[in-house]
Formats: sequence, C-alpha cells, structure tokens
Amino acid sequence: MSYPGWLVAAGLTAAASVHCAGMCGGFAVALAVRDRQRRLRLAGNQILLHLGKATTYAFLGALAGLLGGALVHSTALTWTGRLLAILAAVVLALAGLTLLGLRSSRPSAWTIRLAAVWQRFLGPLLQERPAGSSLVIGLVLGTLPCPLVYAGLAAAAATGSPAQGAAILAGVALGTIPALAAAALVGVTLSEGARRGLARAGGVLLLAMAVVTLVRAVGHEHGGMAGHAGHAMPAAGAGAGCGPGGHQQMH
Amino acid sequence: MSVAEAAAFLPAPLPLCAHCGLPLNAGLRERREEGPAYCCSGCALAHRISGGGAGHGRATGLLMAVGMGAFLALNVMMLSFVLYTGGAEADRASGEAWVRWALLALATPAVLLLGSPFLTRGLRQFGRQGRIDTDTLIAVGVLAAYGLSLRSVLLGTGPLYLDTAMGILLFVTLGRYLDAAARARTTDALAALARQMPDVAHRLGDDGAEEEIPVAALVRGNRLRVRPGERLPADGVVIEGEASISQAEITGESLPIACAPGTRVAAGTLALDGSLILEVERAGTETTLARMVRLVEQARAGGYPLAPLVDRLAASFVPLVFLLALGTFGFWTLRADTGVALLNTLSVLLIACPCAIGLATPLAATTAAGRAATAGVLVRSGQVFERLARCRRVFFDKTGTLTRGELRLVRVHTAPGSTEEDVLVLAAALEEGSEHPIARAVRAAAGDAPRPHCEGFRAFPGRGVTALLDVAGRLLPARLGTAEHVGPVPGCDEPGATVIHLAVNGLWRGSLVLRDELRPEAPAAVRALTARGLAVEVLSGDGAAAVAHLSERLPGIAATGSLAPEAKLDRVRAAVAAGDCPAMVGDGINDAPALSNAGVAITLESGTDLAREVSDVTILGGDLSRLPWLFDLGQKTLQTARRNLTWAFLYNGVGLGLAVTGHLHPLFGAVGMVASSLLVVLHSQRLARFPLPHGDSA
Repeated sequence: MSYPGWLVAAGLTAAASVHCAGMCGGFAVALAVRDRQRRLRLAGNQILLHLGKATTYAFLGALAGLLGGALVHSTALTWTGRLLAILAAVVLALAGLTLLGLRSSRPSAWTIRLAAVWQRFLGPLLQERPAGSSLVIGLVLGTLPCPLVYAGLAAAAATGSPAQGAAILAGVALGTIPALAAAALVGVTLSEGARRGLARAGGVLLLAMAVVTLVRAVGHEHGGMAGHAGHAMPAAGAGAGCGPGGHQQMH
Repeated sequence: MSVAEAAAFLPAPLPLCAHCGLPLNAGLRERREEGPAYCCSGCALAHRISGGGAGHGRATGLLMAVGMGAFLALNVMMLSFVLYTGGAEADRASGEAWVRWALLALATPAVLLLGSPFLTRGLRQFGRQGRIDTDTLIAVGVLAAYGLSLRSVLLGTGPLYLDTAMGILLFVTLGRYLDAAARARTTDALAALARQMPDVAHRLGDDGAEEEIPVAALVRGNRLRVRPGERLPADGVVIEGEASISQAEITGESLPIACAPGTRVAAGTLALDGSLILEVERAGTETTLARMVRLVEQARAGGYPLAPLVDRLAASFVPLVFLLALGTFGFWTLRADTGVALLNTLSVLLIACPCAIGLATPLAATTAAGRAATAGVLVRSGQVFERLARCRRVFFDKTGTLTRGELRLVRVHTAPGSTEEDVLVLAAALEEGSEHPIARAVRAAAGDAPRPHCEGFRAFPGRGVTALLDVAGRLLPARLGTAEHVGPVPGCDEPGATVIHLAVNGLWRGSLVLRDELRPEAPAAVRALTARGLAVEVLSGDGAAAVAHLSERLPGIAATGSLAPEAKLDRVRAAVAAGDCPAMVGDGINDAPALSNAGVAITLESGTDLAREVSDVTILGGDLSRLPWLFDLGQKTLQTARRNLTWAFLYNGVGLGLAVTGHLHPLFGAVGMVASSLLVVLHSQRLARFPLPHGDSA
C-alpha cells in the first residue's frame, strides 16, 4: 500500500483543517464578502488566494527539504536523518495535542504581532483590492504561524529532498482548501461543538501519525540515511516520493 | 507677531527620515528638495505603504509590484532548489534547456519589480556623490548574479545564480520593511507627544460669546473655555471654574492635580471633571508641550553616545570592504573559477553592509530620549545619556531646586490674649496690597478668613509695612516686619528662617515664622543619588544659617553657603578639571554660569528661561525623584548602545571572515544583514520599556 507524501499531507490537513477557520478563515471570508454578488470573480479570487498560499508553503517545504538534506549530507552521521524523523514526530504530536486542546491553542503574542505587521503591510491592498491582489494576500497568509505547517515542515526536512518537501507542503495547502473554500464560498460555518469535535478527530489522527513516524524512525534497522529518509517517514514522505525521487514502497 | 510669523524664526526643520525620524546622513540631506527623504529603502517602502508621501494609488501599485515580484521569486527559488537537489556545484549546470529559459523568464520581471528601488537609489547615490552605500552593494551583487546567469542561459552552458539573486532581493526587501516598521515604532514617542495637542480651541469674546478657532490662531490674553474631557489648547492661568487636571502625558505625574482660579496649567493636559475658563499665557510654539517636541527633535539630530568612535570606524569601513571584495574576487578567480569568486565576493559585499553599526547608537539614544519624555524629563541630546553614565558628582542649587523656592508659614508665636487666627488675619489684612513673597505666604496661610478693614498702607522695603487697622471699630496703627521695624519684641529667632513680627497700637501681638521648605521628595532623591555612588554637594547663595538648617535635614550632604555665581562656577570647573563629568541641578539666573560649564546641566520646569536655555535636561513638574531614575536610564542607554555596537562589529567581523574564505553563501549574507539590524532595533526597544519612576503608571 503506498500513497504519495503530498496526498497523506493533504488528507491529514483536510481532516484537521477546521482549525484553519480561526486564523486563515477570517481572511478568506473577508475577501469573499465583497464578491458575493459576482460568482466568477469570487471563484477567481479564491483560486488566486490559495495559489499564493500554496506558493509560500511549497517554497518553505523546498527550503526545509534542502536544509534537511544539507544537514544529512554534511554531518555524514547515520543518525542525522533518524533524528530529523524523530523531530518530525514530535512536531506532529505537538500539533495533534494543540488540536485536542491539551496545549494552549490561543495564538501567541508573537503570532498576533506578526499578523498586525502583515495587516499594516497589506493595508492599501485590503482596502482597494486591485486585480490580482488576492495572490499577494495569499502569499503573505502563507507565512502565518500554523501547527499544521510546522508539522509539514518537519516532515519535509526529514525527507532531505527539496522536491518532496515542496510536494508535502503543497499537499498541506491543498488540504486547507475544503474548509476555507466552504467558509468563503457558501458561508458555511460549523457550530462550535461540531468544530471542536472535528478538531479532536484531526488531533487524534495527527497523534496516531506521530506514533507511526516515531516507531519507524526508531525501529528501522538501517533507516535515517539521506535519500532513504522516506522509509522512516510515513507521515512525511509516506514512503513514496512524488518528485523526481520516484515511487518507493512503504514498509 | 502671529504664531505663524513666530514659527518663521524657529530653526529650520531638522533633516530627519520622513518615516522613522532618525537623522539623515550628509549625502541624503542635500537631496531634501526632491520631496520626502528616507534613510533607507525600507523606510521609503514603509512610508509609502502607510499612506505618507504619496497617494493611496501609489501605495497599492508598490505593494502589487513587491507582491508579484515575491511570487515570481519564490517560484524561481523553489524550482532551483528542486533542480539542484544535493547542492553540489556541478548540478547547477544540469537541467533541461527549457527549464533554464523558464527560470530566466520568471526571474527577469522579478529582478525588475523587486530590484528597481535598490538599483535606482544605489546608482543615483553613486552617480551624484560617488558614495557607495548598502543599496549600491546590493544592486551590484544582484546585477552580477543575474548577468552571469543570463550569459549561462544564452550560451546554453554554465551555472545559474538566479535563486541567489531572487533570495537576496526578497529577504532584503522584506527585512528592510520590517526593520523600518519596527524602527518607526521605537521612535514615535514624538508623535505621541504631538498628539496631545488639540486642533481647535473655544475662544470667549468680550460679550461672553464662544467661537471655535484653530489653535494656531491663539494669542496671549485670549480667554478660552475648556470642557470636561477636553485637552487644554494653550498654557495659561485658570480664571474661572474648578477641575481636576491630568498631566500624565506631560510630566509623567499620574495623580491629577486640582486646579482653581489662579492655577497655572499647561497645554496638552486633560481637564477631567470640570469646566474651566483660562487666560492664555503661551500659545503655539511657545507652550511647554511645543518646547518638549522641539527638544526631543533636537535630541534626535544632536550627537549620540559613542558617536566619534562610530564615525571613525565607519569612515574607513566602506573603502576597506571594497578592497576586501576586490581581493576576494581576485583570489578565488585564481584559486577556483569566476563562479565561485562571484559568489564569495557577493557574500563579502552583503555581509559588510554596515546597517547595524549605523543604527546601533542613534536608536539607543532616541529611544531613551523618548522614554525620558514619557516620564516628564526632557533631554536635549543623545550625548547627555553618555555623560550621565560617566557622572560621579552632582551639585545642587538650594533655593528653588532642593526647596520649593517660595516661603511658607511654619509657626505662629502669640502674645498672651491673642490667638493664632487673630495674628494671621491681622497680618493678612496688612499685607493685602503687597506682592512681596512674604505677603503672598501670609495671605496664603490666612486663607479665606474675613479680614478687618485696613487703610493708609505704607511699605518700607527690606523692613516691613505699616497701616491703620480696624480693630473692634477703632482704627489703630499697626506694624508688620523685622524687629527693628516693629519695636520691642520677645526673642523668637530661628536659624535659617524668616521671622516677621506684628504690633498693634505699639503692643507686640505675635510673630510669624516663614521658611522655604525642602521639596517633600528631595531627601529621598538625594539619598537615592548617594546610594548610586554619586557625591552630592549643595552650592547655595544663601546665608550660612539657612544652609546649616538644610544640612540638618539632609544629613551627610556637604553644603556650602554664601556662594556667588562665580564661586559656584569655580566649584564646577574644579570638578571638570579633576576629570569628572559633574552634573549641576539649578534653576536660577545665578546658576546659569555653573550650569553651562557642567557635564550635565539639569534644570526644573519652574527654572528661569536662562537656566532652561543652557540646560541639557529639563524636569517637568519639578519632581526631583526623577533624578535617580534619569541616572539609571543613562547607564542603561550606554550599556544598550555598547551592546548594539559590540554585536554589530562582531557580526560584521565574523561574517566577513567567513565570506572571504568562501564559507558563507550570499543568501545567508543577506539574511544575516537583515537579522543583525533587526536585532539592534529589538534590543534598543528594551529602553522603550525601561520601568518608569516609582508610582507612575503611564
């Protein structure tokens, strides 16, 4: 059984993405409100928004993959890749705990300050909304701190490959679309209780993934080598590259 | 003379960056006629985006250009990372031809969109003044990386450096913006001060009719109505009404003061709970608030701590960097190839940007001056903080500085058959027509009690007054004054105090003891200064008795009396000659010579104009407890500036070493450059949170 890493990332994110309504959802809905009467424009702007966000995510993923790869190459230690995989498991677990409500999910002071800086930066664009501005807003939106992105970045670093890293983060971006688009296009917002329930379910999934990742990272006999990081990383590479790395079987 | 006319005589606006308010360097100063001047491209970006300097349309266009550039740049970098997986230099040549053309197609508009601010600024700077600044360094680096990549694509072989060019442009643009935004927050204490000023005032005509006029049109003598919740538009005297006034933003004093007819109030303070009518004494640019704003501006443009050191080093820095860059290029061309040489040279140029060094000290001083203003302490120049930190000795004037500078009744001696009230009321009646400080103190002590009729008032300067007083329906001759003036009185002299006697119909009725009391906070402030290891000495022009009394109240403090202005000056000069940087705290015209020779001249808001003119520091509200705090702030500012500088030089030194030896990729150079100046900004912001003096909440 093998799934490409981006698909795993997209699925996990989609399951956990009720969380997104809080941070990114506000932006998405705000952008959509003005366009409610003009369907085509609404759709176009939402596509640009997600394209921009996906670009930032994928760039960060490629960067994480590049740095992870560089670390594994440069240290020439067999356990470096394994360590990265364990780190990915820890970040996944923390993201899961956040969704379960066991860690404080309130945005940190730092997050709020960053959002304020961006809001000031984007001020004129948000007011005037020239054609194509949704793309720029999406780019910036992609830099907001998010536990799901952290988990994805950790996984991307563990693959040691820019291509796989970019694909995983693109998957994360893809996974956020259903929840955000539903909020923006249809104005669907779930009840508080339903949202909490779904977030918990997503949290359990992330925790489960963290456990699987950890077991693979620790238990694999000769795991942890660069280029084979995928073996130790079901959550991240899910044992199958989606870039030039080709498809590998998951153990 | 109208306010507008008066403004024409003020010094020309200081050359400050239109966004962050830091002083511009000499090169930029000459270009002021071209519209708003900025200290860096980050400030230009941030200022236009925030709607300053240009219309909203331009801000939107600028943002879209940066945003689109960023979108293209991110894609170029991502694709490059994917193509060159593994990072080996040989891989840079790989990739299909069409991919290389696609990268070039994406990168070319991005270079134009993101790079044009650096290119135009950098080239203009170089072309006009032959100066090389950080923008020039960035422009040269990016153009070189792009040009070499273009050559490779056209020839179909060779390495691509498009990701490097994109990364540098993107990181530097964003970093500069964030840096400028943070810096503007650090230095906007001035804007906060200026916001305390209302735009309009309600002027009362002779017929009592009220009209709304702009604050700039106010002149001395205007009568204004101020309603609860309004800020006072000018300095003046209350002539009608009572209210609590909050001075928190002006003097830092958190408790509101009660004011009634006769109280002097300052522009920018807030009437909390009552309606007032006040007569304007100072308006427009003459108000205390306007003076504060001017002083803070002067502090920005003035010298900064450690400035000479920075100037010396910076002067030799940029030429040195260019030599080093040339050497690096030559060395690596011979050792490896042009590609490696280019990358290493690029790293040298980027890491050597002396942004952090240039920011290190001005930011610390400006932030500290803003913080001091919040606590009601006006500091004229950034160098004051360095001198405060070096100061080991503080001279105090006595009258008006350690004391309130006004006499108060402390005791009443009465003859048998008289009460204290009788004596006070009779004395107040005698002094009704006099403006002598003693008369004011007596009237204040008697309060509102009804006074007997009095006629035939005569004053004998230096001795006292005589008049006829209506006592129980009979007009009796009365005398108030010194013992020689009044006649036989029992001995009730007190050292250092002023004693006046009252005789009615030739009979002694009582004596009033008046004294210029210490400010209530003075003993604690002086103790706090000595606790900081500062030697405190009081230099007074008053007689020995008054000074001796002071010594009793301030045990352990050296005090010298009967000093002429020249003698005070000599004491200060002797301390300077001994290598100290003494502080002098004084308020009088007689203190001015000593003040102007002291290392740090400190005066109180109530000080004479001359004293304020020659002083580096003015304490609003005259609260001496601000003094120890100010010395602490001086220490902290110097420490912050030193740490900023240490970090900046360390970063530049280590970075240069790595870059020259080929151990630093240009991208990390760009990130490091931005990170180092952000670090300096954030570190300086600690001064903006320096705890205010005890008891303040502002």
